[in-house]
Amino acid sequence: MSNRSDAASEPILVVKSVERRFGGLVAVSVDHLEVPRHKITALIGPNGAGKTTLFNVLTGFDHADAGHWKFDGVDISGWPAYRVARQGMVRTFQLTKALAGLTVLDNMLLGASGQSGERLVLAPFRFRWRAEEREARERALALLDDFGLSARQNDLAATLSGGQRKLLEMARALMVEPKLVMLDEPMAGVNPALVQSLLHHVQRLRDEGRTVVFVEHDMDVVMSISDRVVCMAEGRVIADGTPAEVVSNQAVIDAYLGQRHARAT
Amino acid sequence: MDWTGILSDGLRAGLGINAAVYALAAVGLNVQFGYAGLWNFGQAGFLLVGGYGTAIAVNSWGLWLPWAVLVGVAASILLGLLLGIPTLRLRGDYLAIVTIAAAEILRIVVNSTKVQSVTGGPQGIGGFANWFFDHNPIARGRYGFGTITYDQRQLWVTLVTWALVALASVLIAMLVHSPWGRVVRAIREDEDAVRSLGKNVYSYKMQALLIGGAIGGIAGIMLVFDQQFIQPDLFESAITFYAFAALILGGTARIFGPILGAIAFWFLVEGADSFLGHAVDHNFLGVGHLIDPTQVGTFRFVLVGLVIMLLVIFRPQGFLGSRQEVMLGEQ
Amino acid sequence: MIVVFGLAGIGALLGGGRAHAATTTTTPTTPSASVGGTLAVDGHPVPGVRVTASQGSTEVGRAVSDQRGAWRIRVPGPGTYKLALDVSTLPSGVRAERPELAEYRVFGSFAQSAGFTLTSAQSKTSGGQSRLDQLLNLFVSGIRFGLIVGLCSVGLSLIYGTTGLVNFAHGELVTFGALIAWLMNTMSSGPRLPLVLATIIAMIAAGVLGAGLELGLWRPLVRRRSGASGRMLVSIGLALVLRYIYQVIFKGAPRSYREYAAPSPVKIGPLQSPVRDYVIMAICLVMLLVVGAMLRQTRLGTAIRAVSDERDLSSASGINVAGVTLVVWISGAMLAALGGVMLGVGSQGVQWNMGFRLLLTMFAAIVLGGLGNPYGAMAGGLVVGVASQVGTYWLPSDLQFAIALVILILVLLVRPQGILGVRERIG
Repeated sequence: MSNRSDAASEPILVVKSVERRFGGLVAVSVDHLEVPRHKITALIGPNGAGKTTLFNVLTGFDHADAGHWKFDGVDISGWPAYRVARQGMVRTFQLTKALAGLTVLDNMLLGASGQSGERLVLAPFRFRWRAEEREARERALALLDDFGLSARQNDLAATLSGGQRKLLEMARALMVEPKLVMLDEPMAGVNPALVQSLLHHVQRLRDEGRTVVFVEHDMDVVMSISDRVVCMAEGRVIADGTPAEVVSNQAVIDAYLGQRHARAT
Repeated sequence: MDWTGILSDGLRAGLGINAAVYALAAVGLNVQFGYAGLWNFGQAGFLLVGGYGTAIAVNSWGLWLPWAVLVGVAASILLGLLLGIPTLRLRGDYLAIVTIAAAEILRIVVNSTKVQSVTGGPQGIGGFANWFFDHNPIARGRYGFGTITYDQRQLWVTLVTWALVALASVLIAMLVHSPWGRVVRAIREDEDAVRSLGKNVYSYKMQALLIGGAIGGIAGIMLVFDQQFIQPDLFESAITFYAFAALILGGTARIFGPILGAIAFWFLVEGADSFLGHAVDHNFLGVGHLIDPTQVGTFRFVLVGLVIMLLVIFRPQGFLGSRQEVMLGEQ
Repeated sequence: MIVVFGLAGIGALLGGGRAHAATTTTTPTTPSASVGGTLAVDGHPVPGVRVTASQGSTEVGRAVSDQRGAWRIRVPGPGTYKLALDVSTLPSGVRAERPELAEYRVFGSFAQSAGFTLTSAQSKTSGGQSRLDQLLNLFVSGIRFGLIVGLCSVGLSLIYGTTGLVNFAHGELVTFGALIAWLMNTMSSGPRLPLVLATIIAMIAAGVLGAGLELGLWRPLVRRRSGASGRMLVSIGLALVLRYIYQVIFKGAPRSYREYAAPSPVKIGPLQSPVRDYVIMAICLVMLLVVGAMLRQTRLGTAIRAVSDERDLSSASGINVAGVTLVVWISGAMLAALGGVMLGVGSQGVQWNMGFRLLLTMFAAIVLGGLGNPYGAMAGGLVVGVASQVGTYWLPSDLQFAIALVILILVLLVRPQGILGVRERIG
């Protein structure tokens, strides 16, 4: 038990000297980064700062050219994406990947881990997995209810609106029962009415004892819900602290506002 | 014009051994392409190793036929492993090109004079399925209805093949309606999403490839049982395309799709053949001036090609599929 | 040494299909078993050769090969026969490797094929060359073949790059060029143009065909939101339609052009090839260099490469993607047609399925070079061409094509993005 309280104070994710290059271009070069447990950490930075690439590398969707990282005390550098997810670190995507040809409920059930019916040798024998399936279905329906999607459970995911797909993807990630949820631009392209609901869900994740990292552009959103903000520019971490600290950091203002000004002109 | 003759020629083929073999091959493709979204363009190669594996096991090693059949199935599973290991991590186009390449390599290699002592080269191997026909429980005679009849030998091999089609379809139905099937269908939609949920996509794709390949191997075994003879020409890459045509005709990702499709395909091919033959003989609609009798067989492939094109363009979901799902799958 | 195996009937599958239909028919007159094949040397049919089938000392049937080199003997039924080729009826300079198949087994009541391997006496193996000379000659013929493959594949690669279509009907464009040139060049009722002019007309006709396919088929399909897989299947159907129409019109046998059909080899040092082959190489090389320069130097070329790299981005940045695609189809088809003529001038001759036979080699070339990269198609073509020719020094030449495909698979294992390809960015 003492172990556990120790662990609670330790960061859930520790990144050391991770580098990713594309040809001559250094997309990510992070010397050191820690993600505190049970907190919401926002990852901000101008376009091309390497946020999504860092996400890809850490979650096993891309390989690192150098460096290693520990999740919950386990060195997971170089692990394939599916093992990272099984370890409890689950991500969503910037461009929503709702499985359009599956129903909303099937999308959810796919998230449940350790199903014996997913093993080829057991799959034909319904009696071997019927109980598990029922359990997963109950959990899925409860989550859909939370996310306001239960009315759509039997519709194809393709019929959902953009915002509903974001919600579905988040709910689906929760089916994996992750310790750390990595959300890549969860608010992008979502109609403003739904943003509040999404924010509420993100906060609830933390309140339920999970850790959240999310990429976001909208500073208002970042300021309102994050406990901690990490700012990247040109592949590097240029600031790391409380929201108030980071927004007043000169390097952040230069990188962030500089780009905003450039874009405006 | 002898329309009933044309119709019964078509029906005889639609219910016959060729349709059953293609149905089996297409059931295999349905697992790979229909459910898992894998582009196996080398199904002919899986039929080939199934058939040759069995024939060689009997002919060269003197195995008892049932064991030889297992050798054939194992050979097609092995082929799936060899092709899957390098390509299943890559984009789908690569699997398509590598599988069709492998199928052609195999056909050339078994044809080669270098291995003639084992495969019989271009002359092939024959007479390996005696055990199968010795155990035919059907008494001598002709069976059927109307003008569509089969002798006891054809009936036996045809019935066994259709029974295997049924067996394979039941197994596939059980699989795709399980959580396993859910993962596989999800992979067809978006691999990365499935990976992000902790599923080993590579392993599932491999399983789908191997199951489809093994079913293809069994199709090859039944094909050469029927002929009591095996030679490289039986395994042209066209087999793969026709099996695809049958699958799409019936509807992908539907349990009865490949079966209905194979029946319809052979009904169309032999019906068209018979129609063209009759039309040329009787100079129906002036067809006799256009085609000479020796070209009837060639012309039916033009028709097959046209049917494939028109189907994919105007009814991509086949007889049984849902258009919505097909359009979504294409996005 | 070119070895051609006999095939039953006109096309192998065709023969099999027809014959099989016969076994399932219920008509009481069961067709008797037969055995047959096609005799050819260096791709040219050998007519007038007598083949006999006998059981014990009794002759049960005989046949003489026809103008297409085809022969077929009806035999009484299943059993073991001795097939013998009468070597005295062979034309001078042609040898049979095994004139007798002592124990040929006929298995059922259908058309079977038997292969007699013919070699021409002037084939390289009998020339008394040193090993090194043989290898050098194989290398040069590999370069020639590779350049032709490269020429044919550039269009295939560009079409893939700009439209995402894996075009299974590309081989039929190659055949189209060779056949149109043959019509213009040799058909008795045709204009009987010199081959150079006939080739130019064939290229123009192929360009028109390419434009017609893009405007009449592929563009509407894209507009209907048909996906890459659907279009790939349409191209398979199209390939079948075109290929068998060619066969209906041009029949099965290989043809030759009026000119350059049987040139005598010229010795340059250890190399022994007809001047024709050097001209083919020069034409292909010049065309490839021109295409390469155009892709690099001109605005159009830059636009093509841009679309090939990033289709959506190019569309957004104001490039006329539809126009670029049309140009790619036209020029790709023209290059394929030229490649087809070059292939037909060589020892293979012009045949209804020549492009289809080349299709997998072209796939191998473009995957090897890096999918969608036109320079990759050229490089891949050379590698495949040289490897498959030089490989025949050690392996029997009927495995030539297999060598190319094995190389493809091996390269993919090590370098999935191809020789010149760039690793894809994920996410």
